[in-house]
Amino acid sequence: MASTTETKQKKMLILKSADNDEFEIEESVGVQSETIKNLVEDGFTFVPLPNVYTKALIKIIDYLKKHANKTDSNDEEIKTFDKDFVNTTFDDLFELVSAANYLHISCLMNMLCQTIADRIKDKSPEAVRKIFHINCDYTPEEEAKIRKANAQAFEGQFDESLD
Amino acid sequence: MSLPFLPFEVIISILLLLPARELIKFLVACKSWCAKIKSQDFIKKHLDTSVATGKSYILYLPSESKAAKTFTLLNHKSFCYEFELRVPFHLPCVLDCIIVGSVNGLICLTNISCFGHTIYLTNPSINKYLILPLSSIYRDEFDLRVIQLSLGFGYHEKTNDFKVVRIGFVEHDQSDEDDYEEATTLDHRYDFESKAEVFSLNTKVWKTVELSPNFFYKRHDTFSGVVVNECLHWKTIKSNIYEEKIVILSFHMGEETFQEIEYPKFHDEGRIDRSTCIGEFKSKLGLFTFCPVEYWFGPGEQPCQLWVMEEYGDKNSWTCHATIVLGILIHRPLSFTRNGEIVMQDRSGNTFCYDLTSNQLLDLNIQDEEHDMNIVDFTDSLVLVDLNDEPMGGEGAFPAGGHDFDEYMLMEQVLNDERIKFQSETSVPIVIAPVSSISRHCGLCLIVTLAPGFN
Repeated sequence: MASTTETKQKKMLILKSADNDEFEIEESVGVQSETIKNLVEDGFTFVPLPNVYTKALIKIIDYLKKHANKTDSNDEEIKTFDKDFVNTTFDDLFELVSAANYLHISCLMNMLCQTIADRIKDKSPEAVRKIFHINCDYTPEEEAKIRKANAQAFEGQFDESLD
Repeated sequence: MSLPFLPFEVIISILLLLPARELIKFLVACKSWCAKIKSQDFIKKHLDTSVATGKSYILYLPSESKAAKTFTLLNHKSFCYEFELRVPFHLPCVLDCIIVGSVNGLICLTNISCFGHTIYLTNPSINKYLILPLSSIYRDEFDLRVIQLSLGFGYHEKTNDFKVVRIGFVEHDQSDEDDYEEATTLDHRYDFESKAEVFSLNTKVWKTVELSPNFFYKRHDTFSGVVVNECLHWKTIKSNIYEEKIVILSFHMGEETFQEIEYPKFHDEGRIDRSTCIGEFKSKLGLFTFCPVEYWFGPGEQPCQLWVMEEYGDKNSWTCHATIVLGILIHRPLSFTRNGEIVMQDRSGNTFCYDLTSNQLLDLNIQDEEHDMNIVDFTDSLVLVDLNDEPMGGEGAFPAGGHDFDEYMLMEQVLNDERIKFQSETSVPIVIAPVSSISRHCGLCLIVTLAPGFN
C-alpha cells in the first residue's frame, strides 16, 4: 500500500515518472491535466506517465500547484512564477512542452509554444536547425532554389545564437 | 539522457505562432517543415491563429510614401502605427496604385490611370505577387470604347479560392444618330452594353460571366471588396426604359452569377440629397448614408445613418441601425473595418474612424489630399507561399515572383507574348492603342489590342 498518512478530506493521486519516481499530489491539482482527469474519472489513483521524466515532472507539478491556487490577488505572483518557469534552455523547454502536450495541459502548452516561438523569431535557419536538432535533408541545390525563390526573406542579419 | 524528442504536432503548434515572414525563412530547415508550412491545411490554420492572436491590421498605401512603395500597417484596435511592408514589385506604375480589396493577407491592386487593366495580387508579408493574365474579353475594339471598368475582389470560403471580378460597360455612340433629339429621349438610357469576367486564383484564368439580357446596370462603384453571404457587392445604377435608380449589384462567387438587391426605403425620401457607401457590417450588408457636403446647407449636423440588411436578400429587412452625429463634414466614406467601424475623410483629406459602439470619432492622422486612398483590413498570412516554385498556368500569364522588372520590360513582355501566340496561328497585325487616360506619374500607358477582326 502507498502512504497511509494522507488526510481523509483530500483525495490524493500518485504520479509515476518514466524513471520510476513517484509523486503524491492532490487530485484537484492533478486534474488540470486532461490526461490525468480522464484517468481519475475512470477510477485510477495511480497514474504511470511513461513519457514524462522526473526532471520535467517536478517542474510541471510545481506549475500545477501554483496555478491550482490561482486567485485574483496572486495574479502578479503567478506572472512572476511563469516568467521564471520558461526562463530555461531550449532543451528543457522542449522536454516540458512534450510533457505538457502528453498531459494535455492547454494553458501550459500555449505558454511554452509562445515562448519558443518568440525565442526562435529572428534566428537564422541554421541556428533553428541546431536548436531543434534537425538534420537538414536538402541537397545544396534544393536549398539554394528555395532561398532564391524567397530571396527577400533571407536578406539581412539573423541571430545565430543557440539560446 | 537522449535528445529531447519533440512530437511533430508540437512543432506545428509552435510554427503556427510565427509571423509568415519568419516561416518563409524556416522553409529551408528541412523537407518536412517545408512541406507542412506549404500545405493548405497549415496555411488555413495559420491564418486563423493570426486572427485569434491579434495579428490583424488596418493597411493603407500612404500618398506621401508611394515613391517609397511601402504599405503602412496600423493596429486594428488602437489604430497606432505598427510597421511597414514593402510593395513587392518594382514597376514604376506602382506609383499610382490603389487597393481594390484585401482579404486573408492577399491584397488586390490596380492603377488609378488605366484603372482595371493591369491587376496585381500580392501578399506583402512574404513578398509574393502575381500580375493577372490578360483579359479574355477586353481584347477587341470593345476595350477602346469601354467607359468604365469596375473591379471586385473577394475570398470564397467554400472553394478556398480568391476571385477578381471585372465588369465593363460601354455606352453606344450617339454621335452618328441622324436625329439628336431622339438620342436624348429616355430610350437611349439603356443603349449600352456590359461585359463581365471573373479570375480565379485556383485556376489562374479569366472566365467570361454570362450576363442576362436584362443586365441594365451602369456606373458601378469602381471597386469593391465587400463580401457578405458569399457575394461581392457594388452600388450601381439600374437604368432601363422604365426606371433609373440606385441598387446594389451582387456577384455570387460560388455560382458566378449576378443578382440585384434593392436599396432601403428611406423615411425622408426626397427631402435630402443622399450619398451612400456599402460595406460589411458584422457579417451583414451595411449601408452608410450621408448628405454630401456640397448639398448640406441645413443648420446643425450633417445627417448620417447606418442601415443594415438583417436578412440577406430581403429588402424589407433593411433597418436603420443608427443615426450618427459626427461633428465633422464628411466628404468621402472609405470602408467598414472588421470591427464595425467606418473609415471616412473630410474635404481636406483628413481621415477619421468612427466607432459605432462608443460613438467615438478618432482622427487617424492620415492625410490624403488627392482623395485616392483606400484603407483596408489586413491579416498576416502565408497565402501565395507556393508561387514561383512552379510556372504560372494560363495563357498569356505574366511571369510572377520577386524579380525586378520595369514597366518597359513589362510592355515588351506583353508584346512578345502576343506576338508568339498569334504568329503561331496566323500573321496578324498587332495594334498598340493609346488609352485616353495617360498616367499622371509614368507618362506612358498603353494597352495592346489585336487589329479589329482578329479575335
